[in-house]
Amino acid sequence: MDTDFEIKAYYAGHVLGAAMFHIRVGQQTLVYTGDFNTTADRHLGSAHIDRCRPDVLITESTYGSTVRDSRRARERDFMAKVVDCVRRGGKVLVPVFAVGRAQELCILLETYLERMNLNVPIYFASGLSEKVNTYYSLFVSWTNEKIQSTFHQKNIFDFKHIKVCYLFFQFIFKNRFIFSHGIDHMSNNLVQ
Amino acid sequence: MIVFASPGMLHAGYSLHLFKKWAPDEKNMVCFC
Repeated sequence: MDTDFEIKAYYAGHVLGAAMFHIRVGQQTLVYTGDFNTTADRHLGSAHIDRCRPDVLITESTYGSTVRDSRRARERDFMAKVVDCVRRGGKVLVPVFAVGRAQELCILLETYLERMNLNVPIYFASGLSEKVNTYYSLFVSWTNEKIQSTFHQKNIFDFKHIKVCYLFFQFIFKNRFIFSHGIDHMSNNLVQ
Repeated sequence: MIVFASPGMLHAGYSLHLFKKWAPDEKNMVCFC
């Protein structure tokens, strides 16, 4: 490798640990990044990069041509719809990927339900998410400042209302019936 | 009850299974975020 070669990683504010790279070889520079987010969300800080004029920029372009509502408005809309549905006796299904948005929504729901004093059972059905939440707790220094500063009082990823039902769902898929004993924290009507 | 289920595109696995199960009842809701 040429000695005149430099790579610098920057915080991308996407999922935990996501990075953008500024690469310099001699006089030529390149910025390479996957998804990044320039506004902080409930668990991550915002992306930042030093002032630069790269010769080449390679970037993810999700939402690149979309003007989105503010995060606050989107969250309010989401919570209003969820609470409305639950109050009418309905069940809410939120399809998510195991990492990223899922943790953000968990924090949002947990915070909101606690404030509203609503007791709605929340389940997390994913093969990965129990591990994911563990890693979020381990690498809390990569989250935003607010979470880090309150971490010694309360681990925000140690969710009170949210239960992981990985094994429970395996039972359903394999056997197509529910064991109502021995899984005492699970509601029997989960799949009714 | 609120259930987060993967995968996010509702094409297989837990989320699709629950979707099929809950879809007939109009009180239920599916929410893409």
